[in-house]
Amino acid sequence: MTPLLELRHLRYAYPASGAAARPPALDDVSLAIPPGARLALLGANGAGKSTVLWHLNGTLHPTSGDILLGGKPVRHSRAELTELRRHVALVTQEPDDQLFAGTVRQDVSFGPLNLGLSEFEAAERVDAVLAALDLTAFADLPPHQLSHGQRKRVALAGALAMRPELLALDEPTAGLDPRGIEALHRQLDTLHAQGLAIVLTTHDIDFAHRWASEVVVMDAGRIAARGPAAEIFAEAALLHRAGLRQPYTIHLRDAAVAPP
Amino acid sequence: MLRSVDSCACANRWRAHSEAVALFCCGLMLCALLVPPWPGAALVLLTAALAATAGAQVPARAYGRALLLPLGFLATSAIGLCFSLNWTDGWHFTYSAAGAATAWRVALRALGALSVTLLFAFTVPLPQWLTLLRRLHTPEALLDLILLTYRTIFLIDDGLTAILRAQRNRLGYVNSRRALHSTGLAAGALFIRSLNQAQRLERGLAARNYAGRLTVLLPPSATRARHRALALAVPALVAVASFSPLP
Repeated sequence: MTPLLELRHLRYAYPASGAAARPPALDDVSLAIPPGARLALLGANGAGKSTVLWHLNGTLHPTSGDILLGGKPVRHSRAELTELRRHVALVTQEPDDQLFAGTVRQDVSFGPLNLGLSEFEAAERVDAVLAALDLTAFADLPPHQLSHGQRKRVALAGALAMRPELLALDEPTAGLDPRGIEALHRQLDTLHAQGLAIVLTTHDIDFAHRWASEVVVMDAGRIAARGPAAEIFAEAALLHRAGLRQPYTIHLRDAAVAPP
Repeated sequence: MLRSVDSCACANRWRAHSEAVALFCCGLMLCALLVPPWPGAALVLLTAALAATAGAQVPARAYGRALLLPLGFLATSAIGLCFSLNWTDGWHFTYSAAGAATAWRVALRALGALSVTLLFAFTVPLPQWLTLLRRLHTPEALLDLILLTYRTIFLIDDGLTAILRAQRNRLGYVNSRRALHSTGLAAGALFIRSLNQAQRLERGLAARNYAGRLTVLLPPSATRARHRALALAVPALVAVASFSPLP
């Protein structure tokens, strides 16, 4: 089956800020994302998780390597980037990096209108997404009057209103309380059931263990391992090397079966 | 005060009637500037304050506090007009009756105009401003700039609050010397933070297919003919009353 999106031998280095050149943020990263994926990118700080995510919809341009959408290489022309972003929507870790408009409704309408939809069609999409994410009551409020969790949901709504096939979420659980994380889990389940492929980065190992069907472990800009979540989370040494840990449920299970 | 004005603008009873409010405010502003200041401007002040607090249900305390700050500047200027300085025969600082009369007229007009400006600010949320401005054929680039400025003001305010709180927690304002130093550091940090925020926002918008225009849905106006009629009738009544002899 042709992957929905594929990264091939991607390299990327952030521009040097001083005399010394920075080490590459991504070093020969190849990753195929099939339709309906439920993939978590894990790694320590600076491992390159977010940099991978920013490449998925062409926001960052790789130093070398290819991005393939439906098997076709994406050149970074405006038309091809527009086409890529029609299929891949990105939600930033910090909602204020994404929200700019005067009200929630206006902000969510930005993506659909950029896709060339009429105001009527865009309004229909906006109302549907706001209702699905329980944001209708906040529709006419400016983003700065909302809590952090509510702003994160607005940022998600802005991406979903573009009706992508692949949703990329950068640290979606960061700053959320347990109830917010549970609500996010349910929303992602619903979206996945509707056929959306989802890729996310997170430091919340327990959330990734419960949610992901597949896991990619990144370490120093390279992919250290990729596989089914159950297999990856069983590899304590691998996770330790990448600056991670096993989920608490596995710790508890091991403790329960260990001989006294 | 910034957040108080913004919250009231988003929550007041007239928030969906920006067109009628704009007409009403234009009418009252013309009255404040053109009719005799007494009793015209005073009537404008009374009408605007009543409209804000009783009509739009803006909290009287918030409206009053917003009036206080410019009132301080106004009082300072008015007092200045009441006195004259003469140096032809040595330095003389004397009370001037003509100056006091001018100060009274200017202060009344300014107060009337100020109350109308605040009525508009407290009752029309920014998205409705944009709808009005677009209807007036304002260039789209200017509308984008207004939208971004509005959002950025609050982001910068959040950043400044966080920086000042962090400095106060570490005794950054313990004496005037440290306060001066901390203020300089805060200004520098805020500048860098704002630049970084702008870069991140640019990248966030690019991820959403930004192509040079911040196209968003603008809210429809709920203003009907009867609202427009009322918005024009009240300032007309104020104007008529201003030219009527006082009992």
